Amino acid sequence: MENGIALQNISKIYHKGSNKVVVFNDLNITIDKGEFVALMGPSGSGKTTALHLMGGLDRPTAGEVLVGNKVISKSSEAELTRWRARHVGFIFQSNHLLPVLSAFANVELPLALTRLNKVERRKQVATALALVGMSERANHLPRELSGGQEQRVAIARAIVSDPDILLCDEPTGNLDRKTADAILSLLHILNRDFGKTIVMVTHDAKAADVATRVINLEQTINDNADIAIPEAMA
Amino acid sequence: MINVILPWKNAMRRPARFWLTCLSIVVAFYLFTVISAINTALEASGTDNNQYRLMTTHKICITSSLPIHYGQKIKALPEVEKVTHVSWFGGFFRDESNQLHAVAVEPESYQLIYPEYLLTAEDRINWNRLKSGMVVGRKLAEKHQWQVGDKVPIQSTIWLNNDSGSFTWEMEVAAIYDTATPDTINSMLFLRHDFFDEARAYGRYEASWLVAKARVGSNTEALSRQIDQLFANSPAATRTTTEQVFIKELARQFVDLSWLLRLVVLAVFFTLLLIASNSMSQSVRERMNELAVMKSLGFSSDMLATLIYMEALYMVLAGAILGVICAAVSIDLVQMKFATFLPGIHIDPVTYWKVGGIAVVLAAVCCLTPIIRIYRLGISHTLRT
Ligand SMILES: Nc1ncnc2c1ncn2[C@@H]1O[C@H](COP(=O)(O)OP(=O)(O)O)[C@@H](O)[C@H]1O
Ligand SMILES: [Mg+2]
Repeated sequence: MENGIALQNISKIYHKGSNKVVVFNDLNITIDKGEFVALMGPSGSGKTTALHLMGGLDRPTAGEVLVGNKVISKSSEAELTRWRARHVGFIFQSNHLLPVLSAFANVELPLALTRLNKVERRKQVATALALVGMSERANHLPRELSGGQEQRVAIARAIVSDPDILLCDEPTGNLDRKTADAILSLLHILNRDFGKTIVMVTHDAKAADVATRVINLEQTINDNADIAIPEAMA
Repeated sequence: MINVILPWKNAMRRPARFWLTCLSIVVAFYLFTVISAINTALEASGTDNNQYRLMTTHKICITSSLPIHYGQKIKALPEVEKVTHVSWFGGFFRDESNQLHAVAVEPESYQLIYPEYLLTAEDRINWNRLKSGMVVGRKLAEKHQWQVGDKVPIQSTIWLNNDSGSFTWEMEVAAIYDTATPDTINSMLFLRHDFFDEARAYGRYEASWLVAKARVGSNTEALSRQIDQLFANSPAATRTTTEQVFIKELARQFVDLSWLLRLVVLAVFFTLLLIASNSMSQSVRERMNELAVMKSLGFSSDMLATLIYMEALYMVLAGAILGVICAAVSIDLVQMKFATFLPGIHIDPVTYWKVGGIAVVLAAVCCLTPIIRIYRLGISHTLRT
């Protein structure tokens, strides 16, 4: 399972005042390197939580998160930060670009964490923007772009430092059908031709067509029953 | 690169907020710089020149005159090298608002005691030849566009001129002096005491004060007492202090840099701190989401804290620089008016370093709360909201 993702015996409990929200109780998911997984399930079933656990943005209450051979649930905050910069790209539902920076500068942002020089950085940004078809809009500010274009820039930012894993949280949630399809096929290319491991949270039935596998999380809030993950077990 | 440009762009996100906050910073640094300059002028000391110059004035009333012949008695003291006498002319040019720092001096002895007013040998000869000649500072000459040879009517608020029968004294520019250091006032007007004495309608053979140059290394305090002792029983008893003390005392009559003033500056800085912190907190609170995204991209809390610090630094530095510029301009404007009691008021280079230091610390303090917030920021939680 080189570079794969494994959630092992995960439980995740949020405390809301005196209330306990049990999101996961002994959740197990294994994703192989190179897979394109669509993470589905009703709202509140823990899709975002699972995705954040995989990217080290959040920690499980119990259990372990392995990415590659690294137990990221045991890493220090600083270590996780460095690890994310190298290995993971995030794409969120609303684009989350920095409004004060041009598309180009937004994509360049993660490269500020590398040792690349200016020329190398420019080259890499140009490549990423070309890949998502946004070269022409490099100098535009986010507010001058459409929703779909912003999302493309966000994807360019996620892939610019060439991470092995892309974690997407409803990347097409705010887009119309046609734009959504374009984004999906872009992700498909990234998976098929560039070998990125992709986990994509989605409500979109069409996304299942692009993905190599669908994992369904059921509504389990305050329910201590084991969570059924049929596809993952299969 | 990113540490330089991104914070600037973030700072300029809300230009109104940025500049309003900046304004409070400008006020604080303006006050700080002006008060520092006044302080520097007051504390200006340590040169051999004014450390060993003793000013003798009337004991009771600083504006009363002393007989010039007191000088001979003072000169007879073994510790005294030279003596000269100076009279306050109370001059203005054309209009009372053009106040001059004009004094009548005895050229030869005065130049020996005050070598900081630079005159060429030729200038000296000219002045010696020309009884109604006056020597003016470069700055003053430039202000009124006076040139050597110009005949200029100078008004006195005190002295009636017997020759003209009025308060107007017609004098000729004999030379223009330069100065070697910024401490030296470059807008003085010197006229000859002999010319002054012959023409004035009253007060002849008297001077406003006497200046004695003590030998380097002598005990000026003891010497001052010794001088005052000489005239203790005469009708015009004296008070002698070093020039430093004299200037300070004179200045304190006009500018009282008491603790109250310092307290005001402190209060201004405190207010600034509240305004600037609040502005920074607001600015950061508005984009916690962006900061969470940057964390998800792999930016560490330290890096984000640096970005926030830089943003605060831009704001504080912009305010500080503008404040210092305003201070420099206004000091330049009032330099002539202040010349009487604060000769050579100027901004000491040390002040710039202090301003820089204060700005650096201030920026750190005012982004403390937002930075703590960044270290505590839960990425997952923030991204959901
Ligand atoms: N910080 C939190 N505190 C309390 N409850 C939370 C918190 N974050 C998420 N939850 C709860 O956990 C459950 C799963 O949330 P989430 O992973 O966002 O679901 P999904 O993405 O599938 O809609 C939801 O019921 C949500 O209310
Ligand atoms: Mg979600």
